[in-house]
Amino acid sequence: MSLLHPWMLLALPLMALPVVIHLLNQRRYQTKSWAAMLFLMQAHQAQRGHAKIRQWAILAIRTMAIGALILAASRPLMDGLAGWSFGNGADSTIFVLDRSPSMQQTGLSGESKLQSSVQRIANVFSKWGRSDFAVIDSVYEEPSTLLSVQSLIDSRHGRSASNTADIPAMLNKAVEYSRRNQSGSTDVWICSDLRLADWKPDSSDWLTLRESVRDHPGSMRFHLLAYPEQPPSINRSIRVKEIWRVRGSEASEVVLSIEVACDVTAHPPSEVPVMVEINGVSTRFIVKFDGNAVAQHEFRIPIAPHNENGWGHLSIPADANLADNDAYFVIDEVTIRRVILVSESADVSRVLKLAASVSPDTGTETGAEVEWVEPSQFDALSLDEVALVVWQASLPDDSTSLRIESFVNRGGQVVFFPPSQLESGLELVGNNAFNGVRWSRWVHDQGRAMVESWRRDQDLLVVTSNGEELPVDELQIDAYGKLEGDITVLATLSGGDPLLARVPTAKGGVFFCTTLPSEKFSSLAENGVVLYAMIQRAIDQGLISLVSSSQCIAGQVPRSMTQSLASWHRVAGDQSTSSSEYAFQCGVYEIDSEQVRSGQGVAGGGNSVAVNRSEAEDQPGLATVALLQGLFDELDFTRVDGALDQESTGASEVWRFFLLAMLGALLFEAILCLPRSLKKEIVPKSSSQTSSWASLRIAKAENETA
Amino acid sequence: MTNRPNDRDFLDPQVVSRLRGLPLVARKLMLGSVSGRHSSPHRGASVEFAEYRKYVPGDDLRRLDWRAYGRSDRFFVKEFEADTNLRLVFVLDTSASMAFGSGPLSKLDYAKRIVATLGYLAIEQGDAVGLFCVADQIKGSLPASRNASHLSVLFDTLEQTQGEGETRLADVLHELAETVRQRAWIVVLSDFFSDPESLRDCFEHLRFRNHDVSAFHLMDPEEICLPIERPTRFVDMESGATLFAEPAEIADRYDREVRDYLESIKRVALETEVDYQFVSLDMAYEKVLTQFLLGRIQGRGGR
Repeated sequence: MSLLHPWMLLALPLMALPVVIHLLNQRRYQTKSWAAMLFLMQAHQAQRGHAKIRQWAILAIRTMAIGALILAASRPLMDGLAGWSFGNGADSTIFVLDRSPSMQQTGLSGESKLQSSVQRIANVFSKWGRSDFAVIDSVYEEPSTLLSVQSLIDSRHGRSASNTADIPAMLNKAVEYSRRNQSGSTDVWICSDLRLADWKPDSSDWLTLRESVRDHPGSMRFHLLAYPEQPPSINRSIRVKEIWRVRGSEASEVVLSIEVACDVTAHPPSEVPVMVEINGVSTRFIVKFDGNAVAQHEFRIPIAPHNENGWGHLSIPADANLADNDAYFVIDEVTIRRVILVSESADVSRVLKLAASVSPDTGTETGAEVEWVEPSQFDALSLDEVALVVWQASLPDDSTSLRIESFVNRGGQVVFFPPSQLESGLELVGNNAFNGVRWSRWVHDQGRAMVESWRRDQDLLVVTSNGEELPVDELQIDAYGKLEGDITVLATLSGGDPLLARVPTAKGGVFFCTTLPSEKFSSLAENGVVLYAMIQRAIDQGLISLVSSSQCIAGQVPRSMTQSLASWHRVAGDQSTSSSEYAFQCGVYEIDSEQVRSGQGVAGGGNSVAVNRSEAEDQPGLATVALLQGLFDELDFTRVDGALDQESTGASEVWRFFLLAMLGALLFEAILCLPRSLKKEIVPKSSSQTSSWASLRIAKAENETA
Repeated sequence: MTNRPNDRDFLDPQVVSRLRGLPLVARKLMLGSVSGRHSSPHRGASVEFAEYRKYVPGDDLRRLDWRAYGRSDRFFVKEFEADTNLRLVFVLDTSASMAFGSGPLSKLDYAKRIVATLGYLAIEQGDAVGLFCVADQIKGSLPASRNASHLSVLFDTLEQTQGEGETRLADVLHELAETVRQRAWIVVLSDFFSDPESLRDCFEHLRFRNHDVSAFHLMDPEEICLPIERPTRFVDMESGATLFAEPAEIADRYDREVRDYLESIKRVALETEVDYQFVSLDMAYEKVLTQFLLGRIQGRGGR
């Protein structure tokens, strides 16, 4: 608690006024000769204890009332932080700062949550004279010592970043720091807006945290300075979902798939203007919400054919959070269409290689570079620039599966064909599964199965751009393999078995074609069109992921690119960002390839990289009280809620409390001092003077009241 | 001894003249020395027929009822009630507590007025009047006499009486019960700051001696209702002991104590057939005496 008018405390001696008056009153007693001493002594004896308690109570209440009045006049300020700071003589204090984009939400004063929390911490803790301070922010995630708390305000720790925070990891770092410094007691102050993306409740780090705190030789207290959502605010966010380039004969186009989201707590506007800047040329679009909180839109923006590379910037008008109003992207020309063909059969591999290597546009693009390898050679290959893996062999073992899964998660495409052992009736070696799907047995259908149905709206068998269907129904299948596992069927044979299936994945694509492109088993090779379309579309999808490899998530930029941050040059983005935080701030950065190559790694995806915030940052989920209690189970945890647009001191005036306390005290004192109610007549009834005595007593009572 | 009229302000002739029309009667039979206005246990020569009695030799022949003899041929003597005077004995509490008075009159002054007025009326109707001034013991006594000159002595005694000393009313009343001859009218004037149960014994003792007992209980208004003022050091008028108290703090309890005490006194008076009169000093004593005398008429004793 601090005071706006501390000089008013000079009046505190006035609290002794009731006692002084009481003593003076005692001094000015009168002496009176008294006859009915008998009653007086009896009354005094019986009343002494109660009267003394009442008298002291009245004196105490009067004293407290004056004290409360003086404190109210001195305008006290109380802060939840301050309340907890009292008496907590921790040896060290560690501040854990969430610098994620959601902490950039601003109030009416223009102060963000991060700025507000840092300001409050600086104001409060600078008053209590702490000396051992450290800070861990969500960018560096390493403790750094503070010379003074005030230095937090202007330091890099108080500036915004674009990466998602990892609160449990930072808390573990705080515990480790405390253990390393052998602190007896440590206070950890967490400044966060409780976003689930930052708190990662499913992370195993929480378990580690609880165990490490239990094993900590000293005491650790966790305090959360929380900034929940500000209901009245309206916030919109924009991000690039996908970007690819469509090359025409005369002009090229950039196809941008964007997503604009709006807080559901506010009334969503019907439309939002989006400013698109590509290579310095700005274009304005209108995105309509149509009553939804999220709007997805696809733009086609023509660019000059000679502009092989470039970058772009999307922006929407300012709102409550400026950090999610921009999105950046890089346009890269991917010239190499690399395909890896893993096959055990020469015939099949020849057909597949042919289907992959023929360019869809003979005029402008070259065909894919197909590399045919044995399954055993696959692990030696780099998948960095591979768009598609065609696997016609026994399903990969665990180690290879992990590699392929990583490739798929990057956005790569995999098409599995039945292995030769299956069609020859040999027992499958290991009978491995990929993502829970495995080959079961080979089926010979003498009646030549036809494709009964297929998905025309998406995936590999979708209709062409001019609306024509692929001739899937013309395919004749003589033999095929049966699948086991959770699959999504894209094409179904007349017997009900799948011809083409997809395995659900978060990113990328994993497809199973149940027959082989051989005359012996199907007309895939003879027909040609369907197989060619399937393979080329899979390559295109894989290329999109390669283009996206230059679109990085803040804080998740590959280590190979961040090992030499000195080679990064800002092209677009926040000008105040220091170079050490380029990988954590939204923007477009140009990487000096020579410097990178001279380093330990080579950047993939070209010379430019666009860094954007993660998709999780736009998710509105907040950590609930129950969740927090569960995360800090058995730990010393307290929480105080902060709010934007508070006074800069971070404290609120509480003079009303003291004023109410004074009024309450005076009311109680008045009750204690109430004159006695009229008792029933004490003079004997038989006396004729009864009425006159009653009159006398009433008159006396009235005089007392007056 | 020089009379000082100003010091005898306890007798107001106008009050006496207004009260003269009210008879002063006893509630019990009295044994007087001369004829008077009060009923006697003996037969006498009044006009009120009492009974017939058989003639025995030696009876006064003038009292034979010849008509009864003519009708019955037997001798009967006609007897009549006797009227006598009484001995009115005042017991005046002259302890120091009686000197208390918040108004112009102290309790003792007030009691003097009652004694003087009643004494005057009694002597005027031929009754003998005596006075005992008591505190911790009998401080002064004036034997009962019906002479008119005795009134002057009574007033002189009253005039010289001062409130001093402690109260031992119970002991003194027991002593008086044995001292005063039977069948007297004993009027006690006191503030009765004693244990009510001890007073019960005294009154029963007096009743056992066939005394007609009246009690004037005198209290000052401030004693009934504690004045709520600033802190006060109370000094006991009898013992000199002091007590520092805040009247406002103990007023409730004080009222309760007084109420309980008065109820006890009243109960004792009823149970011992004492003619109890509660008197507050702020009442006119004439009104008090008027009610007292009227009450006596209604309760006049039979034979």
